[in-house]
Parts: sequence; C-alpha cells; structure tokens
Amino acid sequence: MFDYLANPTRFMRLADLLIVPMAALAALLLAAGLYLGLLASPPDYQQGDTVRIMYVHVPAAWLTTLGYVALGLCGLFYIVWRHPLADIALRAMAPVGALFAFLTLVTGALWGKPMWGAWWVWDARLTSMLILFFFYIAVIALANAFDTPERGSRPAAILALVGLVNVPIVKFSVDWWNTLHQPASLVRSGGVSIDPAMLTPLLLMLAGTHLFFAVVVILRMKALLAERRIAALQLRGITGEAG
Amino acid sequence: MNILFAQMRRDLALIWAGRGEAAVMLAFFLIIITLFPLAIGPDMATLRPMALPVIWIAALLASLAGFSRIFAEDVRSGWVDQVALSPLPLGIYALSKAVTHWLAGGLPMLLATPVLALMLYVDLESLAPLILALAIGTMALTLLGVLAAALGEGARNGGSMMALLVLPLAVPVLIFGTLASTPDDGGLLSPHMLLLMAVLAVLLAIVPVAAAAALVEAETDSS
Repeated sequence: MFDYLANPTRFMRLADLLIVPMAALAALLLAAGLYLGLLASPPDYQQGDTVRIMYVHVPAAWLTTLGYVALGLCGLFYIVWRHPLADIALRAMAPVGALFAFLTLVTGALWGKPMWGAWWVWDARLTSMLILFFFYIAVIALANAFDTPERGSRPAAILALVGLVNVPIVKFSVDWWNTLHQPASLVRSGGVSIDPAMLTPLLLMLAGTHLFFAVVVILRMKALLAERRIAALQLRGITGEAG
Repeated sequence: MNILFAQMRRDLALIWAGRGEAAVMLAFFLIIITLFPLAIGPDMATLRPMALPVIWIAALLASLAGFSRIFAEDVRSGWVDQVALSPLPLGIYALSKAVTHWLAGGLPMLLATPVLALMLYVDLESLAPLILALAIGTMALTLLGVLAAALGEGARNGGSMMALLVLPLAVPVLIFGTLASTPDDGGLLSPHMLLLMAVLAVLLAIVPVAAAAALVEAETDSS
C-alpha cells in the first residue's frame, strides 16, 4: 500500500476513484449533522441556543489537533523514506489545518462572548490553540520561503517533526502557566455527560468534518501534483528550445 | 575533538573580528528595555512588577536579531561543505555554533542584566535567580535560533522567518524563565528552574540532529 502509492499516477487514479463517494458521504453527514444540531436538537438548559456553536467548534478543534499530528507524520515519512507524496500531503494539509485552527478560535470567541462575557480569555486551552495556529503558519511560511519550491520541503518536514516533539511541551508549559495564575473555573469540565439528542449530531458533525478534511486534502494534493507536472513540462519545453 | 576546538576558535576569532555585530545585539537589548519605562511611565510602583517580564521579552527579541546570519556566511563560502567532508559531524558543528553564538550574544546580555535590573527597581535578592534563569533561558533560545537558522538558511525573508520559527517554540522558555526568576519561588533551584533546565536538555538532544538534517539540504543547495 505504502510503496504502491509512491507512484503519483497510481495515487491520482485511486484518488479519482474515491473522491466522489467520499465527498458525497461527507456532504450527507454534514447535512444531517447540521440539521440535527442547529434545528432538531434541544437547546442547553443553561446555555440556551449558544450551545449549537459546539457542533462546529468541537469538530474544528479535533481536526486542528489531528492535522498537526498528521503533519508531523508526513514530515517523518518524507525525511526517513523520502516518500514523494509525503511532501505533497504536508503542503496540502498545512493550510487546511491552519484554517481549522482559525475556525476554532473564531467560533470559540463567538461562544466565549455570551458565556464568559469576553471575546478572549487567556485560558490555557485557548492559548495553546493560538500557538498551534502560529505553528501552522510557520510550517506554511517555511515550505514556501525558498526560490525553488521543492527546496522548502525538507525544512518544513523537519519543522513539522520537531513540532511533534515540541508542541506538547508548549502545551504543558501553557497549562502550567495558567493553573498558577488563575483557577480553571472558566473551562467547563468535560465530565458533564452529553445527552444522546446532542451527542448524535456532534458525532455526525465529527465524522462529516473529518471526511471533508480528507476530501479537501486529496483535492489539494491532486492540484499540487498537477502544478508540479505543469512546471516540469514547462521546464522541458524551455530546455528543449535551448537545445 | 581537535577539529571541534579548531572550529570554535575560528568562529570566536571571526566574531571578535566583527565584534561590532555582537555589540549591536547588546545595544538592541538595552534599547528595548529603555523603551518600556518610556511607554509605561517612570512610576516605581508600576515598573517594579513589570521588570522581570520586560527583561525577558527584551532578551527574547534581542536574541532574535542575531539568528538569521548564523550559518549564512559558512554556507556561502563553502565552509559547511568542508565540515560535511571532515570527520566533524554536522550536528556537533551546529552545537559549536550555538556555543560561540551564545558567548558572543547571550553572555554580554547576561553581564548587562544586573545594571538594567537595578534601573527597573528589581530587588537585589531576586538578582541571583534572574541571572541563573536568564543564563539557561538564553542558552535554550540560542539552540532554537540555531535550529531556525539551519531550517531557514537560504530563505527569501530570513529575518522575519526567524521570528516566526522561534517564537512559538520559545513559549516554554518564556513561561518557565519568568516564573523561575521571581524571588519567592522557593530558592534558586526552584521547580520552575528545573523545568527550564529540562527544556534546555530536550533542546540539546533535538537541535543538533534536526539542524544537521537541515544543513545537509542547505549545503547541497549552495553547491
């Protein structure tokens, strides 16, 4: 499977085969999740209708974390095995992950204003999400910082891999910093069991967003592969004329 | 071992020859610290609680200024190619760069800190933890800088790239450093000081390997 996909043409063929059913399923899950979440589920007895932000906020937060782990793994595959698709996947994933981090921060701010009375709170979770967002930006910037695009692949892969070790330390230090400065009274503990009427749309949204992420990443990978192919063809054309 | 000393002697000689550059970094540190009272106001009561964070942020920003050129000259002149061919591993070379860069940039900042701390009304008894924490912290920052310099070597916008790469990863250094600097934190070797040392130890393990992997690319790119 791993070696099989090393050939971009094979990957393209497999992607073409999978993309339509995946996209259809993602759309179906998201539609069902949004309907159940935004319209059919009961409002929270404390939070009222604002609780519906959760159906977008939580999946986005999950994806941000997942995307960051995936980014580190892509870096590992690229450095150790020089897998040609790992670099493409890393470049395809990073902006999508950054976007989900941004979405998490925005929905969090929108949720925080009615619940906590402030758009932003220097809470450990919020802060580490913000730093994760900066980290995504750093990976994207480094991958595109060189005159020849492929030159940025290895530094970006190394950074993603270093981040896999270092970002947990950042998270730990931020947690530490916050627990010393203020009690964790603002964050609602996750111990509250969720009613099935709310859990079902949340799970649907989680599955739907993850599939959506996969579809977008595959589409971006196809686009990046096509871009490289065009660049290679152009280069061949130029040298052909010269020779 | 001899090659390592030769490498470090060379770097130190180069730094000494261009000592104006290291002085600029120190001046940058002084200026940032001067700016804070100008913006906040000269009041002792407001300045004193801000003194330690201000010194830390100034050290962080002043360190950033010197990072982007750590490997630039060596890559351009082909020195890194020679190191890659020599028995000196690239990781150890990167580590020696961190040591010399810290001696040129971190150490002068450290020596200037007591005077600046007094200017910001820091108590004398909190000077010892501040200096120790700052010494460990600047070493950790220099290691992050070496990593960032190796990753961003040859990048189009070197300077701003350094800030983007270093600052998110420098969060633990800043947090544990400022906490360890406060005098009522339980002695010189407080838990936060030990955590700061742990961060330095982790970076000591990661940075040479990662920087060497990045330098291979920079070296093949230049030739």
